[in-house]
Amino acid sequence: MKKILLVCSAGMSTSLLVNKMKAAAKEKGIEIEIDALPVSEASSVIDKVDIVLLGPQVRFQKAHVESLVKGRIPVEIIDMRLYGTMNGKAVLEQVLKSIGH
Amino acid sequence: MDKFSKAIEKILVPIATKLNSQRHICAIRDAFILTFPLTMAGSLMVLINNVLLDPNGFIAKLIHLGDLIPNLSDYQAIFAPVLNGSLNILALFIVFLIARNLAKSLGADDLLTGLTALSVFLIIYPSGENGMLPTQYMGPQGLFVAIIVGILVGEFLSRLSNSPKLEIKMPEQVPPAVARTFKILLPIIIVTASFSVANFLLLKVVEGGIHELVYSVLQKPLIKLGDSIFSVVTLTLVSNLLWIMGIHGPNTIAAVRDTMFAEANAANLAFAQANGTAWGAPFPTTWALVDGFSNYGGSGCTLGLLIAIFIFSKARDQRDIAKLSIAPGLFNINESVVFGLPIVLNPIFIIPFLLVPIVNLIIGWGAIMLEIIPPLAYSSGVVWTTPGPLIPFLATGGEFMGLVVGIISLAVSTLIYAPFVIASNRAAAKQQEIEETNASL
Repeated sequence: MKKILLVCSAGMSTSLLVNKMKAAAKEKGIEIEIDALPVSEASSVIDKVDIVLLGPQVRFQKAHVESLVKGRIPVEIIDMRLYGTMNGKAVLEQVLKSIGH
Repeated sequence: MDKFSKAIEKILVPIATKLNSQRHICAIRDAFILTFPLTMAGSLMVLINNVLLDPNGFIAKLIHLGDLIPNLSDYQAIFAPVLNGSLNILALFIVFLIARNLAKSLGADDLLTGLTALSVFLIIYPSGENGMLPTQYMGPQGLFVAIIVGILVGEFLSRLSNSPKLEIKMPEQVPPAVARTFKILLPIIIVTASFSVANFLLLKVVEGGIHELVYSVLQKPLIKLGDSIFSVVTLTLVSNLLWIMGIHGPNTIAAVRDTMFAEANAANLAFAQANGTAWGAPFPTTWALVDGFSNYGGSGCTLGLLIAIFIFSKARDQRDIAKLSIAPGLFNINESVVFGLPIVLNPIFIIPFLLVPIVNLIIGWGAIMLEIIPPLAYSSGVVWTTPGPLIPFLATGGEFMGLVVGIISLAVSTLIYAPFVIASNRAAAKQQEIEETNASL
């Protein structure tokens, strides 16, 4: 089962997106584990996930997150419009494209 | 619009990138974030002490607790020491956390680096009479030294411990926990000894020691700088300009903001603790004004925008976004409206997004200056996700006028956003007209 980590500043706005993504995954019949954390706590779980998604407003922390994953997994930024409209389905598609099912 | 955003991009974005990704600044920012639950709990206790366990506090008055429990205020003594374990040792928390965060980003032993930083902080700490330590620099007054020591130790210890030449290698049979401490033993000895030497030499020149020196040269001027409405307004402006570029404004300025206002907020809280009231607190102008008056719904006071949309907007997609955003917006979370409306790079909403918070700040600050409400002394005990106008109510210790000024601020923000919502409706309608004309051609 693939594990996804969403990070933003306080972990609050991403947690909204997490619920939408979980619903989208259920619709597709895919099993997936999604967590939302603030960037400052990401390091505690970063070794156990398969992909990290950054909220667009913290996209400049990509370098910092990449230094934590050390190239092991993809680190991607969520598109602004998708994030703003909390489009869980589209973001899930983006993830599946990167790490497969 | 394009020229404007390009100009901002050239100036602000490189700075924002640096502030968001530079590892020392990240270490500082994350350290403050990690201490936040502790300091908030401590501040909350002071608030509870003064509104519940004081017969004149607004909750106690409400439920007549003073009549139910005799000598109610004696129970305050139970919670009074909480500050000693939170705000009053803020520097100790910070120095540990900054070094630990840096070690984490450099791949070194985070726990031991943090502990070493704490150790160094106390190695160079001034001693008092009779072998007692003054507590003055363990709290917010020691912040600057904590930051400097945290960074220096985090940086040097991590680099030294990553160097294989200084490693004491243990044979494989030795348990990992023991081997770990030996691995870093030489670097720790080097770092602590160097700081001892440096401190010794410094004391020859500056009698009070490094804490006093840093405090008077670096920290006091910064505090003075923060103690002005001009600074608060400027910082808010920068933060909101960053949001317009789609960058998390508060996150970017967090390190500067927390360092600048920590001491003032702590002094206010200590005052409230000592005097049982917020009236007369020493620092009326701190970042608390932002949380108290200009952050309803999130940066840009977007709760006013959402209300304006519900009242004035006929555009379907705007109302959809507003419906999506109102629930988090009540708790001051607004990424969905910032990115969804969008406000990002949207010329129509830039002006109110920048203007409304400043207007609200002036309203709140004015109310304090005119002594309609006391300073927001308890603000560190009120979590930033508290629904808008409740924040000044709670942060003033239950002053009813705080709630009134809060509601006025909300109303003003809605009124200012309204014409822009109407304008955006007209622009959207016109755009649709053009498209329909083009389609029919």
